Amino acid sequence: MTAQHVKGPGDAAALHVQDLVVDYPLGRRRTRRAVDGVSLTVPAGSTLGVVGESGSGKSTIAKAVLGMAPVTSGSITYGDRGLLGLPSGRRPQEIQVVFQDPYSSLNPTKTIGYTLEEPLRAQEHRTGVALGRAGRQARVHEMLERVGLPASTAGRYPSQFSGGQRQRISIARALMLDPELVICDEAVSALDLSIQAQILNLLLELQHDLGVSLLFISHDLGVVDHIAQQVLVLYRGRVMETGDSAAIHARPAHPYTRALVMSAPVQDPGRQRERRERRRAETPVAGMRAPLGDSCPFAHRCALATELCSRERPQLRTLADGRAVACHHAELEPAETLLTKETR
Amino acid sequence: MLRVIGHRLLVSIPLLFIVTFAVFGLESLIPGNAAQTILGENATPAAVAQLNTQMGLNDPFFERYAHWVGHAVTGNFGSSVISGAPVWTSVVTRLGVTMSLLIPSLVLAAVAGVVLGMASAVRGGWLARLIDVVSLLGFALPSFWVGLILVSIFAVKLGVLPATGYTPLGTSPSEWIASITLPVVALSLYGITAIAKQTRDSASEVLDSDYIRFLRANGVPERSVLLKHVLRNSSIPVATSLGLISIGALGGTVFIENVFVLPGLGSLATQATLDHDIPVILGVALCFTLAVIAINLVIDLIYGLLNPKVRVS
Amino acid sequence: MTAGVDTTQTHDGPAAPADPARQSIVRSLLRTPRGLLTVGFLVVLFVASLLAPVVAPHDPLHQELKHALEGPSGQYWLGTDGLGRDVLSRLLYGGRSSLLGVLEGVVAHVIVAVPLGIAAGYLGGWTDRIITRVVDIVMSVPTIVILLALLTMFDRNISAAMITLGALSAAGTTRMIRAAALSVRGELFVSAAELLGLSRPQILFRHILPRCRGVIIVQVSLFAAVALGIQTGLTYLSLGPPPPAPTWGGMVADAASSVSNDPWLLVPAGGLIGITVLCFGILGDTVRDITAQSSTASAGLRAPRRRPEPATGAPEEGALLSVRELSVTFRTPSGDRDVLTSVSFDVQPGETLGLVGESGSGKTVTARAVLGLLENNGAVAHGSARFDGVDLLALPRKRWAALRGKRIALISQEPMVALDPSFTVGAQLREVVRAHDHSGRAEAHERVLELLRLVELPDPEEIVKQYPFQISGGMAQRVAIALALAGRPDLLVADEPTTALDVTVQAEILDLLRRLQQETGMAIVLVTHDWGVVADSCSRVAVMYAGQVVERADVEDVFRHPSHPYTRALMATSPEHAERGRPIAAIAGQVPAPGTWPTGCRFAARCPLMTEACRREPVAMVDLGEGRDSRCLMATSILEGTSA
Repeated sequence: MTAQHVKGPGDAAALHVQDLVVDYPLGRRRTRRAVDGVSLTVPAGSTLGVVGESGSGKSTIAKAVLGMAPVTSGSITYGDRGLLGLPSGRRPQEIQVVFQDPYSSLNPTKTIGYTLEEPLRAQEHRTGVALGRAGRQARVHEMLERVGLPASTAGRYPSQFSGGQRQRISIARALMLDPELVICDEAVSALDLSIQAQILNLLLELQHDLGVSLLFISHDLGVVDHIAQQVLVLYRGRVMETGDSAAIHARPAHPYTRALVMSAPVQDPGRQRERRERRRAETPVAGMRAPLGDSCPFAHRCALATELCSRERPQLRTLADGRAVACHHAELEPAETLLTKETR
Repeated sequence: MLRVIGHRLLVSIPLLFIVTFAVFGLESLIPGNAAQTILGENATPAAVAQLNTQMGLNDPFFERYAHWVGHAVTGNFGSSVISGAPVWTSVVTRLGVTMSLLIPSLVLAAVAGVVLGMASAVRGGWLARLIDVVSLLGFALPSFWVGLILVSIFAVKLGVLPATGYTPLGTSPSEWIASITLPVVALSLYGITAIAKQTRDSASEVLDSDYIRFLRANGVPERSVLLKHVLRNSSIPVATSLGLISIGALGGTVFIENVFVLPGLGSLATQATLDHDIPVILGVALCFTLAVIAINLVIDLIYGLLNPKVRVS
Repeated sequence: MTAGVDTTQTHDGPAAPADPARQSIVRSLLRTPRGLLTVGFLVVLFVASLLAPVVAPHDPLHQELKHALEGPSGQYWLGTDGLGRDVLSRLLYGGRSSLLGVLEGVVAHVIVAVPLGIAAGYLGGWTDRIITRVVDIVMSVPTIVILLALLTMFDRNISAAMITLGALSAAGTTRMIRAAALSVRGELFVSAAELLGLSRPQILFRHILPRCRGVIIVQVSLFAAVALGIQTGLTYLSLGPPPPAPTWGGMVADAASSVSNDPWLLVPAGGLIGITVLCFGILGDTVRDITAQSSTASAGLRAPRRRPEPATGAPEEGALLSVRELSVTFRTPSGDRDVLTSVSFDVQPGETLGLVGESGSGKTVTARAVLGLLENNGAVAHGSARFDGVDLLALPRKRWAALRGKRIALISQEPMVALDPSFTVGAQLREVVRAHDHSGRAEAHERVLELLRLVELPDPEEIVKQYPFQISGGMAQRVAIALALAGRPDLLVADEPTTALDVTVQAEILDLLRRLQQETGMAIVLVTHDWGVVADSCSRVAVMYAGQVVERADVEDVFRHPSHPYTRALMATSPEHAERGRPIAAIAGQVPAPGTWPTGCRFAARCPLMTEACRREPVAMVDLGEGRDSRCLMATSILEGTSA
């Protein structure tokens, strides 16, 4: 990994999401708020990890950026272009996606070659610049080799490939039009551990070689911590904590982040026993989940919660080390380092 | 639950209008004119003109439709062009016959279909294959033909059941049963096989589901697994398909009543068609539509009872 | 959105054969005997009817009264009717109007249903809402009275009736096509294509329509079957072309009039109608089978159940469960396939054994085989599973009832689908409690509440009234645990109990299981792919790879000194052990699918330590002492190397 390019908000090719609110209709004029005022930035060439549990709204953010979610308010811009309300044909091709499900991601009735060539043809159609059959195929073969598959893959069908191979193909497809930002929506979550490692390595390698930015969405803090420089922790549609990935993982400032880190078991029975005892000592019995509104969404499960937390919604505030946290009592979090990475 | 019923009733109103409007509207599409069609090629122009006036056919279309609806609401459906008998009376007297054919057929189809389907899903093997073959026959053979075959076997050859005719339930229950047995069998064959197949498919799926494996593994007795959990869950999709099967069976009465010469709505409709008797056809159409609405309501209720998701939400 | 629902984890069975959906439907259809036969018959019938003036042996209207009501003969192949007309010739001529009617109906059907269905499914929104409402209403229309009304006005105009029939019954087909289009539209490849700049028509014609083709063909052939039934029915009621014109329905009616003296006449006309309807129907069924997802391909298959050959290995001293040489075979469309070979492990009372592996390793199949709950197409070929003196694999069904829930219980991967959605939580718990305790209603209710408190659920009185779909995943897993504990089992098989849950909920469930184990002393077999879960909860481990156990050890040992290269490599692939942003030590290649296993070591192709000897013959378990075994020729040197 090269040194991190931290570019300011003025950077032309960066994704900015500002105060995003997404409400899903529940029928009969009722809605469910999936994302509640989230702001984030993916700087060019860098990776932002979005982590959260089910119902945290992390995939909804991806959908909103891709124009697939009903955005209530807020803004999403890429460079100087607004992305909200664009018709499906006018979306910037610089933003592409890799989804979680490697099975539904590829049309089973088309060859891999067809699937990869299709965006090139659409592009020729749009721009009038013809690559020609040979040119398109050369590009397909190049991209297949880039993701670690033989060129002969092009003539075969998705059913002949395993989940991990399909995910490589999905990545190749996302790269066909030279995107600047790739959104990975739980892109490694459906894969076995050994395959997950292969795909993470591939993504890191591609980012290094091509300089693409990644918006990496996952429920797995360990994976996010590995691949992302910046991380954003979501809970019930709200940002709990955001900032430098390594710092947040080692010293969470928000009780929720801390619970997340402490809950993930580590591969060492002795160390895991200690962590478990620590976690159990500091986790209160969860109370009734309060309705969102003026309270902190985590108050009912929080060891530090006071009456203030259920009265006043904590706003994101920046701490001394540059991270932002939405907690009234962030300063009460122990400042010790949680060793999650093995130190060998 | 109440919302489901409310919704069904709400949809039923446009349904009634669509059916009657369609039937009514067809009349204005007739090449030439209706009176001519009714009276035949050789009618005198004077007779045609008179009938036109008599039927109000000279009035604008919507006015006539509104007129008909206005009368229909008060129970006046006009009278037969041929016999002059009030449509309402003949429809009501014949409704009983059609219902004593339809309701036993649907009950038979549901019960026999579910039993066969469950047996096939649980036992598999030769029973499943036999049900496959019978389903194919039930699907393929037209009900009127099956009716005729039943007549030639049970009435002509064996002489155990009457070939034709209808005895009302009130006159003699045993004769009523004898008179409807063959028609009911012929009419329900398709439904039995369709429901058996649907039940088999959904029961196989339920048998393979996680919760059946889970309940079995933790000691729910096999009897209860099959008769309570599998049956209940696999009958939910069956209830859905019962609606379409019922509407099909209602249509089937038209053919079956002709085969067995039963004085029901179906044979009334056939005769009216042959006679070009428009008011009677309208009356039957309305009656059939009401029957469909009633069937759909019953099925909605059954569905709601079976499926807690409907009840709870 | 679910956290870590590891879809590949559930596909522990044999891999499906190549996806049939990609082949041309017509070609696949003609490759099946059923398809070839039905298509062949329909083609012959259409051609023969079309060429009736050329191929018919007699004039269909010519009456030969002296030959009236004759049976089949050389001159009249299918006999003659009451007026001495040739039945075969009349059938051929009659086929013209019947098949034409079907064709008219089909054309109208397709013209109405396909655009509406696709529009509703693909465009969605208001288009969808309006079309769906109209379809709902039209599906309730009693079509037959509309047809009769039509025939009242248009005297004997069967074409008008068939076209109307086609249009009206298009409602059902519209609904099916809509559902198909909607599901294709929800597929991620469509979203990807949109993001790659394909226009709507391009997506419609390249991705949506081709995927709906199967449904369209199925529905149209089923409609053709119905249409032929109606067409012949109407002509039977003499609402079609007037006599003496031959029609199939009319011929049945003619036969009916002479049914008392010659029932034979019913056979040719009725039979031909039946066979033709059948052909349309089978055509539809066959196309449905061809286009169905490959997962249903083995649905009808049942592996023969026979008593497995017993294993010879002796059980471990004091073991509660002792599995020896367990081999399982699955029956697939392409033949029988081994998915487990010679799996052995022991579970001591009160301990937790982790059965660890990736998808395809056979860990779930192992658990199900031991519980006697393999799918219909799976069977135990070899081995034994001694539980408290009895061999579970050879146990007759009746005797299982005494064990299930009472001695051995199960919790499974997806808590949300582990409970019957049609019954309340309380009803299901009560049923299990009463089955175990033979208690009365009130007593059972008390026990249910006690169980719910045992699994730390707040407000048990409220929970018993809930349906499974009304509670969260974590609560559902607690309910499932309560249900499994109802019979006070000695052994709990937990099949990926936390894989579908959020990490914070996972921690709570694992804590709960640990506490319950301490209180009850039950043993747990924990099936998992997560080494963190193993470290947290297990005392012993059996690592599985490609249908075999490759390593058995105490949990401390396996983490400190893994003795099999696979175990070592798999642990290293966790990002936990890699430097942030640096390549992870991934294992190249992938787990070989059942049916593609090599003769020698199954991990050889991916193993950094592979030698020629590894590929030569199957590798046996090597006893390393201190309760450790490893299926590796180099196990001893690995251990010496790492412990040094």
